[in-house]
Amino acid sequence: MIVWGKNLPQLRFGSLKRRIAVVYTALFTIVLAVVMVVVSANIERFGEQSASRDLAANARVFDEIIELRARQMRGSADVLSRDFGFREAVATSDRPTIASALRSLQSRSNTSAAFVVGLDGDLIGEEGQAYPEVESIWYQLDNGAEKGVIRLGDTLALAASSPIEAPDTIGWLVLAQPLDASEMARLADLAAVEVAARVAHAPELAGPLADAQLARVIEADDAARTLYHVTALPTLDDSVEPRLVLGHSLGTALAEYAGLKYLLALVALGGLLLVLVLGSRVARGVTGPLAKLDAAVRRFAAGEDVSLAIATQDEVGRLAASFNDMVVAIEERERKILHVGLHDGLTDLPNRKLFVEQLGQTLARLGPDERLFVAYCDLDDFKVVNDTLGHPAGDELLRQVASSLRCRSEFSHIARLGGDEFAVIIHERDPAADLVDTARLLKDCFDQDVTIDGQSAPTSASIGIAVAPGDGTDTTVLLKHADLALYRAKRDGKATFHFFEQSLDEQARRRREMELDLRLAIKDGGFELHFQPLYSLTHERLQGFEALIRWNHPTRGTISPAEFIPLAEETGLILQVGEWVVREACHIASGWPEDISVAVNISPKQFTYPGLSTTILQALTNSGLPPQRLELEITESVFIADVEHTLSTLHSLRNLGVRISLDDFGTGYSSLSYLRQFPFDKIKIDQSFVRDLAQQGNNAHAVIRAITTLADALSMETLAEGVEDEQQCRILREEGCGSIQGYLLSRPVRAHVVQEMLAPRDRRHALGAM
Amino acid sequence: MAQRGEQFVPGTLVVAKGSTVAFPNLDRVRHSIYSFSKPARFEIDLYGRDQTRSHSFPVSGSVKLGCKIHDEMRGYIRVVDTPHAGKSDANGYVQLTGVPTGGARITVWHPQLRAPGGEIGRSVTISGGSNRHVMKVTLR
Repeated sequence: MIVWGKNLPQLRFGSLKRRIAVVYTALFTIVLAVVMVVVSANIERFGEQSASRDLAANARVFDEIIELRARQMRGSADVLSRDFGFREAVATSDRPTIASALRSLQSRSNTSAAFVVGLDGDLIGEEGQAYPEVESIWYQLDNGAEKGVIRLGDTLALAASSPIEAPDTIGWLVLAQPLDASEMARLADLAAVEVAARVAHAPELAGPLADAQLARVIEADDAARTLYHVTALPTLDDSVEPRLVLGHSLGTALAEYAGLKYLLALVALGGLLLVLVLGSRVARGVTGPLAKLDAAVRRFAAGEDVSLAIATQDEVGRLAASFNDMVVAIEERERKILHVGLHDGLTDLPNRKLFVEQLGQTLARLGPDERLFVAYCDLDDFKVVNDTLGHPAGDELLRQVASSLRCRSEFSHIARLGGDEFAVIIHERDPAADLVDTARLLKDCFDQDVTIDGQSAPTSASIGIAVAPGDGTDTTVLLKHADLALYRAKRDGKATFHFFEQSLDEQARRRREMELDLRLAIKDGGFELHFQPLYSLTHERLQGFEALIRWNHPTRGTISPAEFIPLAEETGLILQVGEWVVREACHIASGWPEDISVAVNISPKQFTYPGLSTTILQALTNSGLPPQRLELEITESVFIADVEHTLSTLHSLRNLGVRISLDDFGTGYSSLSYLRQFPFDKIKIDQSFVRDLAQQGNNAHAVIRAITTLADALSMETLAEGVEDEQQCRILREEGCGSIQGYLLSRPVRAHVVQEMLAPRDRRHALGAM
Repeated sequence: MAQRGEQFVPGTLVVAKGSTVAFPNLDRVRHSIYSFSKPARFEIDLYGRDQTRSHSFPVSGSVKLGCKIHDEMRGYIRVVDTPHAGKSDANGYVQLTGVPTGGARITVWHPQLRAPGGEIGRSVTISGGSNRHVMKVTLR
């Protein structure tokens, strides 16, 4: 099997049109060439056959001509041979009379020779003439031969004989006409086609004619490709084997057909030109629409909107229709992709990207005396909804909020920025309008109960608002300001709105600065631990110290933890800070006497960090501090996030051997349940209860007593914070509180002061002096 | 030698030397008899029906007769100088009587006999009684 593409050289064409035209023309040329070769070969063969046929036919004609001529001569001979006088002359051998009669006959019959052959072998003719040998013709004549070829000297002649009867045959009158070139030419003129005729004695024939089959056409091997036809002629002369040789030039015959060949070539050339023209027209017809499609595809690729005119119903037309469909489909898909890229999948509201664009456009169109109200809205306690009702419910809540926002025509643009955060733009054209009313309206949109799965859930949002052009005319600035206002609104409490103020910006700037400084401090060791003594009323001795972090800011001096710890918690830096505190506290405490413990505050954020136990274990190991001398103070808020996790962390810490105390007891939620769930070592009574002890007429005593009683029942120690005077100390002692902490004993002091306090001479004295 | 139906009747005639032969014309057409033979060269002008011409043959030999106007007519007269001659029958038999015994020569002649002069001869010895001789001839 021939694989077309494999065996043919791969021709490269710039265009399909040229390829079709070339292939068509090449194919047609091949077909035409084959036809030409076949036809011209057949023409040649036909010409040859025709010439052969003509020659054979001519040979028969020639025989007839010779026969006719012989008969004619015979007729002439008969006239004389029947003449009585002539017969008498012959019978009486009257030679002069015979000779004169023969002369007369010669001129009458237009022959060259006439003679009489006697039965006795005597030949009577004119003197000086050439005559055949009597022996060679007598038997032929005696056998009754009437006509044939005889030899007359050097030439062969056609002869006819007529018997001379007196009354029996006494001899024969013979008339002869030499078959020389001129006579043969005269005979040849009678033939239908041009032939060269001659008569020859067979043995004298040379070349291919010598052994040529009789009555057959043979072709001579000469330049003119002469065809020969040889026939035997009747003879009157035993010494002669006459042959009629007809020659016909095949070259000449074929020359007539050459014209036909030229005509054929001309027709072929014409056909080729026609195919070239038609082929290129057909190619154009096929490739024209393809070229249009090609151009359309390029234009489409360049982003133009194109549509092809459908001119035909064939494949090309269908291709154009499919192309148009494809263009529409692609545009539709592009539109969808664009939509998806610029919209939120859940609520189908514009996303942050589109919102920023819309804000930019709206800002650009903002006229004089017009204002733009940009609000960031954050759903309050959305996380609670997600955690308690599940994420599908959370999604449903977001959808409902979105649809309620959509209902308000006052809102120029609404967007969901992500999570539980929405944004709203309101184009305020009235310069006199009070934007606070607008803010309330927006807030009311969120302050609605939403029903999810049959359960009613109250919603509200914190809203931060920036107003252009007052709060900025740039998209970025406006959004930043709205964000700051939102931050502030959240800090102010939930379900409220806050307009941007310049101070917010200032606060934010400071916060950022502080964050940077905090990072630097963690890196460069800008923190210091101060220690506040914990005094055991039960044993009347110094029990230990609570480690409190201080930040020695290079420019702002010492910064209180109340100022930077929330920031550290927000930014997650609390993990690094907390780790430092634990390590430092353990390190310092390891240098203290064995009955002095150290207490460290653990932030709720640290509790969510899985490596807390490891960090503490490493700190203990590195410092060599026994675990029971380390006390971790946690607040109730650690239970808010995940009770199970918190408990497991507490147990793993307890397993290390460290003590765990509950800080700020009494200020949080239902602390009793936590006390039941985890056996704390110590409860630290919040200083607000201690402060109230000095005032008369309240039930602070009872609260303290209740706590101590409860702690005793649960086998937990108690410690009162913020003890400032002797009276408080006395009451606490009376109410059964185990330990105290506060300014009554000492402010938090540096580590080296602790060393002084712990000087071995008298710890109680040292404290008592303060 | 009559002429009847444009034929010589009889076609062949054997006569003794010196005999005169009559040529009665029994046809309705006229005939003109000729002979170019050496023993008797003669011509008889046209003569009509029921006319008779005659000619003497003093020399022995073969005489071929023709009619000037009827080329097909052939007649042969053999003039012999012996009494022992005869014309054979249709079967080629001829009986000669009274031939003296002793040496003799038999000559057979026929107008179409293929031999010089149209005759062949043989020397034979005639014995008493009947002699039988067969001679083979070839005719044209």
